[in-house]
Amino acid sequence: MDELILELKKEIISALNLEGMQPEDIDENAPLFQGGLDLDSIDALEIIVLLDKHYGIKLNDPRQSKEIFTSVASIADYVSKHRTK
Amino acid sequence: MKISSYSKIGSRQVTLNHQCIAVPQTSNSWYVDIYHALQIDYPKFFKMDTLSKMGFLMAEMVFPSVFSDRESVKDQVAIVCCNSQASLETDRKYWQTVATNDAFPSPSLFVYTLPNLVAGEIAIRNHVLSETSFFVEKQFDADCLLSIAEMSFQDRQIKYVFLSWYDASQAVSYMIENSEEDNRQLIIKQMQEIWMN
Repeated sequence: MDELILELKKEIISALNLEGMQPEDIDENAPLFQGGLDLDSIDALEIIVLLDKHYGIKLNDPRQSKEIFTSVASIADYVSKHRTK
Repeated sequence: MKISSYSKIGSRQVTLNHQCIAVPQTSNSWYVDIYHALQIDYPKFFKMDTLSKMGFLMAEMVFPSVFSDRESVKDQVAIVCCNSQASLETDRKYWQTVATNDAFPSPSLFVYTLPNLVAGEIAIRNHVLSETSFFVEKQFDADCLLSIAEMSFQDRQIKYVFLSWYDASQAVSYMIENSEEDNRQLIIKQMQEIWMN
Protein backbone atom coordinates (compact mmCIF):
# COMPACT_ATOMS: atom_id res chain seq x y z
CA MET A 1 0.00 0.00 0.00
CA ASP A 2 2.84 2.40 0.83
CA GLU A 3 4.20 1.96 -2.68
CA LEU A 4 0.80 2.75 -4.21
CA ILE A 5 0.40 5.84 -2.00
CA LEU A 6 3.79 7.14 -3.12
CA GLU A 7 2.91 6.45 -6.75
CA LEU A 8 -0.41 8.29 -6.40
CA LYS A 9 1.25 11.27 -4.77
CA LYS A 10 3.70 11.53 -7.68
CA GLU A 11 0.88 11.22 -10.23
CA ILE A 12 -1.25 13.83 -8.47
CA ILE A 13 1.69 16.29 -8.32
CA SER A 14 2.29 15.79 -12.02
CA ALA A 15 -1.36 15.85 -13.16
CA LEU A 16 -2.29 18.89 -11.06
CA ASN A 17 0.96 20.73 -11.76
CA LEU A 18 1.69 21.26 -8.07
CA GLU A 19 4.88 23.22 -8.67
CA GLY A 20 7.66 22.76 -6.12
CA MET A 21 5.79 20.08 -4.17
CA GLN A 22 7.39 16.73 -3.30
CA PRO A 23 5.54 13.47 -2.39
CA GLU A 24 6.72 13.82 1.22
CA ASP A 25 5.01 17.21 1.43
CA ILE A 26 1.62 15.51 1.07
CA ASP A 27 0.07 13.93 4.16
CA GLU A 28 -1.80 10.90 2.79
CA ASN A 29 -4.45 11.28 5.49
CA ALA A 30 -5.01 15.03 5.06
CA PRO A 31 -8.17 16.19 3.27
CA LEU A 32 -7.72 16.89 -0.44
CA PHE A 33 -10.51 19.48 -0.58
CA GLN A 34 -11.39 22.30 1.82
CA GLY A 35 -8.08 21.99 3.65
CA GLY A 36 -4.91 20.00 3.06
CA LEU A 37 -4.03 20.41 -0.62
CA ASP A 38 -7.12 22.61 -1.01
CA LEU A 39 -7.96 21.26 -4.47
CA ASP A 40 -10.86 22.54 -6.57
CA SER A 41 -13.46 20.94 -8.85
CA ILE A 42 -11.20 21.00 -11.91
CA ASP A 43 -8.52 19.19 -9.90
CA ALA A 44 -11.13 16.56 -8.99
CA LEU A 45 -11.83 16.03 -12.68
CA GLU A 46 -8.11 15.66 -13.35
CA ILE A 47 -7.88 12.96 -10.67
CA ILE A 48 -10.88 11.15 -12.21
CA VAL A 49 -9.04 11.18 -15.56
CA LEU A 50 -5.85 10.01 -13.83
CA LEU A 51 -7.63 7.02 -12.25
CA ASP A 52 -9.15 6.03 -15.59
CA LYS A 53 -5.89 6.46 -17.51
CA HIS A 54 -3.52 4.71 -15.11
CA TYR A 55 -5.71 2.21 -13.26
CA GLY A 56 -8.69 1.62 -15.55
CA ILE A 57 -11.12 2.90 -12.93
CA LYS A 58 -14.26 4.69 -14.10
CA LEU A 59 -16.13 6.67 -11.44
CA ASN A 60 -19.76 7.30 -12.35
CA ASP A 61 -21.40 7.96 -8.99
CA PRO A 62 -20.67 11.49 -7.63
CA ARG A 63 -21.60 10.43 -4.05
CA GLN A 64 -19.10 7.60 -4.24
CA SER A 65 -16.43 9.98 -5.60
CA LYS A 66 -16.80 12.27 -2.59
CA GLU A 67 -15.99 9.39 -0.28
CA ILE A 68 -13.09 8.11 -2.37
CA PHE A 69 -11.54 11.56 -2.72
CA THR A 70 -11.33 12.19 1.03
CA SER A 71 -7.54 11.78 1.04
CA VAL A 72 -4.68 10.17 -0.88
CA ALA A 73 -4.98 7.17 1.48
CA SER A 74 -8.67 6.69 0.66
CA ILE A 75 -7.93 6.89 -3.07
CA ALA A 76 -5.15 4.33 -2.67
CA ASP A 77 -7.51 2.04 -0.78
CA TYR A 78 -10.12 2.24 -3.56
CA VAL A 79 -7.52 1.79 -6.32
CA SER A 80 -6.05 -1.31 -4.66
CA LYS A 81 -9.50 -2.93 -4.63
CA HIS A 82 -10.86 -1.86 -8.01
CA ARG A 83 -7.96 -1.37 -10.42
CA THR A 84 -8.18 -3.20 -13.74
CA LYS A 85 -4.68 -2.35 -14.90
CA MET B 1 -7.73 60.20 -18.93
CA LYS B 2 -4.19 59.30 -18.03
CA ILE B 3 -1.96 56.23 -17.71
CA SER B 4 -1.52 55.76 -13.95
CA SER B 5 0.76 52.77 -14.29
CA TYR B 6 1.88 50.24 -16.86
CA SER B 7 3.76 46.96 -17.07
CA LYS B 8 5.26 45.09 -19.96
CA ILE B 9 6.49 41.55 -20.35
CA GLY B 10 9.04 41.18 -23.13
CA SER B 11 11.15 38.19 -24.06
CA ARG B 12 14.19 39.56 -22.22
CA GLN B 13 12.85 41.73 -19.43
CA VAL B 14 9.83 42.82 -17.44
CA THR B 15 9.21 46.49 -16.80
CA LEU B 16 6.95 48.41 -14.47
CA ASN B 17 6.68 52.12 -15.19
CA HIS B 18 10.02 52.33 -17.06
CA GLN B 19 11.79 50.28 -14.37
CA CYS B 20 13.21 46.83 -15.13
CA ILE B 21 11.74 44.39 -12.61
CA ALA B 22 13.10 41.05 -13.81
CA VAL B 23 15.29 39.36 -16.40
CA PRO B 24 15.46 35.63 -17.21
CA GLN B 25 17.32 33.81 -14.42
CA THR B 26 17.03 30.08 -15.03
CA SER B 27 16.32 27.58 -17.74
CA ASN B 28 12.76 27.30 -16.37
CA SER B 29 9.81 29.02 -17.94
CA TRP B 30 10.30 32.76 -18.25
CA TYR B 31 6.93 33.28 -16.58
CA VAL B 32 7.98 31.14 -13.61
CA ASP B 33 11.12 33.28 -13.33
CA ILE B 34 8.95 36.40 -13.18
CA TYR B 35 6.68 34.76 -10.60
CA HIS B 36 9.66 34.11 -8.34
CA ALA B 37 11.19 37.54 -8.98
CA LEU B 38 7.94 39.16 -7.84
CA GLN B 39 7.88 36.87 -4.76
CA ILE B 40 4.32 35.78 -5.40
CA ASP B 41 2.69 33.01 -3.38
CA TYR B 42 -0.30 31.84 -5.43
CA PRO B 43 -0.07 28.12 -6.35
CA LYS B 44 -2.94 28.37 -8.82
CA PHE B 45 -0.58 30.34 -11.07
CA PHE B 46 1.12 27.10 -12.13
CA LYS B 47 -2.15 25.68 -13.43
CA MET B 48 -2.86 28.65 -15.69
CA ASP B 49 -2.30 28.74 -19.44
CA THR B 50 0.28 31.13 -20.92
CA LEU B 51 -2.26 33.85 -21.65
CA SER B 52 -3.53 33.86 -18.07
CA LYS B 53 0.00 33.73 -16.66
CA MET B 54 0.96 36.83 -18.65
CA GLY B 55 -2.13 38.77 -17.58
CA PHE B 56 -1.84 37.64 -13.98
CA LEU B 57 1.82 38.70 -13.75
CA MET B 58 1.21 42.12 -15.31
CA ALA B 59 -1.66 42.72 -12.91
CA GLU B 60 0.57 41.65 -10.00
CA MET B 61 2.79 44.59 -10.85
CA VAL B 62 0.24 47.22 -11.84
CA PHE B 63 -2.49 46.77 -9.22
CA PRO B 64 -0.25 47.26 -6.16
CA SER B 65 1.30 50.31 -7.79
CA VAL B 66 -2.13 51.94 -7.95
CA PHE B 67 -4.10 50.40 -5.06
CA SER B 68 -2.45 50.12 -1.66
CA ASP B 69 -4.84 47.47 -0.32
CA ARG B 70 -4.92 44.25 -2.34
CA GLU B 71 -7.66 42.73 -0.22
CA SER B 72 -10.16 45.55 -0.66
CA VAL B 73 -13.08 44.91 -2.99
CA LYS B 74 -12.72 46.95 -6.18
CA ASP B 75 -15.92 47.85 -7.98
CA GLN B 76 -14.42 50.88 -9.70
CA VAL B 77 -12.04 48.95 -11.98
CA ALA B 78 -12.89 47.38 -15.33
CA ILE B 79 -10.64 44.69 -16.78
CA VAL B 80 -10.21 44.65 -20.55
CA CYS B 81 -7.98 42.09 -22.25
CA CYS B 82 -7.27 41.86 -25.98
CA ASN B 83 -5.19 39.73 -28.34
CA SER B 84 -5.23 38.49 -31.90
CA GLN B 85 -5.40 34.73 -31.38
CA ALA B 86 -7.95 34.23 -28.60
CA SER B 87 -7.03 30.93 -26.84
CA LEU B 88 -5.54 29.26 -29.93
CA GLU B 89 -2.41 27.98 -28.13
CA THR B 90 -4.47 26.20 -25.48
CA ASP B 91 -7.04 25.07 -28.07
CA ARG B 92 -4.22 23.25 -29.90
CA LYS B 93 -2.91 21.65 -26.70
CA TYR B 94 -6.40 20.51 -25.75
CA TRP B 95 -7.00 19.15 -29.24
CA GLN B 96 -3.86 16.98 -28.83
CA THR B 97 -5.45 15.39 -25.75
CA VAL B 98 -8.59 14.40 -27.65
CA ALA B 99 -7.12 13.61 -31.07
CA THR B 100 -6.51 9.90 -30.55
CA ASN B 101 -8.91 6.98 -30.08
CA ASP B 102 -7.75 6.30 -26.53
CA ALA B 103 -7.95 9.99 -25.68
CA PHE B 104 -7.99 11.33 -22.14
CA PRO B 105 -9.26 14.91 -22.44
CA SER B 106 -7.67 17.22 -19.90
CA PRO B 107 -10.24 19.17 -17.84
CA SER B 108 -7.67 21.75 -16.72
CA LEU B 109 -6.68 22.44 -20.34
CA PHE B 110 -10.33 22.58 -21.41
CA VAL B 111 -11.03 25.34 -18.88
CA TYR B 112 -8.53 27.62 -20.61
CA THR B 113 -10.01 27.14 -24.07
CA LEU B 114 -11.97 30.26 -23.19
CA PRO B 115 -9.65 33.28 -23.66
CA ASN B 116 -11.57 35.45 -21.20
CA LEU B 117 -10.31 33.25 -18.36
CA VAL B 118 -7.34 35.63 -18.12
CA ALA B 119 -9.68 38.47 -17.14
CA GLY B 120 -11.32 36.20 -14.57
CA GLU B 121 -8.01 35.19 -13.02
CA ILE B 122 -7.00 38.85 -12.63
CA ALA B 123 -10.40 39.74 -11.16
CA ILE B 124 -10.32 36.90 -8.62
CA ARG B 125 -6.81 37.70 -7.45
CA ASN B 126 -7.44 41.44 -7.11
CA HIS B 127 -11.03 41.30 -5.82
CA VAL B 128 -12.40 43.15 -8.82
CA LEU B 129 -16.18 42.83 -8.90
CA SER B 130 -16.97 45.08 -11.84
CA GLU B 131 -16.88 44.51 -15.60
CA THR B 132 -14.43 42.15 -17.29
CA SER B 133 -14.17 41.59 -21.03
CA PHE B 134 -11.98 40.05 -23.72
CA PHE B 135 -11.70 41.29 -27.30
CA VAL B 136 -9.99 39.79 -30.33
CA GLU B 137 -8.43 42.27 -32.74
CA LYS B 138 -6.15 41.78 -35.73
CA GLN B 139 -3.19 43.60 -34.21
CA PHE B 140 -2.13 46.02 -31.48
CA ASP B 141 -3.98 49.26 -32.10
CA ALA B 142 -3.67 51.84 -29.31
CA ASP B 143 -6.52 53.93 -30.69
CA CYS B 144 -8.86 50.94 -30.73
CA LEU B 145 -7.78 49.80 -27.25
CA LEU B 146 -8.34 53.24 -25.80
CA SER B 147 -11.79 53.35 -27.41
CA ILE B 148 -12.68 50.20 -25.48
CA ALA B 149 -11.48 51.83 -22.25
CA GLU B 150 -13.60 54.87 -23.05
CA MET B 151 -16.64 52.63 -23.46
CA SER B 152 -15.98 51.22 -20.00
CA PHE B 153 -15.84 54.75 -18.57
CA GLN B 154 -19.38 55.37 -19.79
CA ASP B 155 -20.31 53.43 -16.66
CA ARG B 156 -19.89 56.25 -14.12
CA GLN B 157 -18.88 53.78 -11.44
CA ILE B 158 -15.72 52.89 -13.37
CA LYS B 159 -12.72 55.05 -12.49
CA TYR B 160 -9.94 52.80 -13.79
CA VAL B 161 -9.55 50.36 -16.67
CA PHE B 162 -6.88 47.68 -16.56
CA LEU B 163 -6.26 47.52 -20.31
CA SER B 164 -4.01 44.77 -21.69
CA TRP B 165 -2.74 43.40 -24.99
CA TYR B 166 -1.07 40.01 -25.54
CA ASP B 167 1.19 38.69 -28.27
CA ALA B 168 2.89 35.29 -28.36
CA SER B 169 6.07 36.55 -26.73
CA GLN B 170 5.20 39.90 -25.19
CA ALA B 171 2.34 41.62 -23.48
CA VAL B 172 1.57 45.05 -22.12
CA SER B 173 -0.92 46.45 -19.63
CA TYR B 174 -1.96 49.97 -18.76
CA MET B 175 -4.00 51.20 -15.83
CA ILE B 176 -6.00 53.96 -17.46
CA GLU B 177 -7.47 56.42 -14.98
CA ASN B 178 -10.49 58.50 -15.85
CA SER B 179 -10.05 62.25 -15.42
CA GLU B 180 -11.35 65.48 -16.82
CA GLU B 181 -8.27 65.98 -18.99
CA ASP B 182 -8.87 65.61 -22.71
CA ASN B 183 -5.51 64.29 -23.92
CA ARG B 184 -6.54 61.31 -25.99
CA GLN B 185 -3.88 61.70 -28.68
CA LEU B 186 -1.13 61.98 -26.07
CA ILE B 187 -2.26 58.77 -24.36
CA ILE B 188 -2.39 56.91 -27.67
CA LYS B 189 1.16 58.07 -28.40
CA GLN B 190 2.33 56.97 -24.94
CA MET B 191 0.65 53.57 -25.34
CA GLN B 192 2.35 53.04 -28.69
CA GLU B 193 5.76 54.06 -27.35
CA ILE B 194 5.46 51.71 -24.38
CA TRP B 195 4.46 48.86 -26.66
CA MET B 196 7.22 49.50 -29.20
CA ASN B 197 10.11 50.05 -26.73
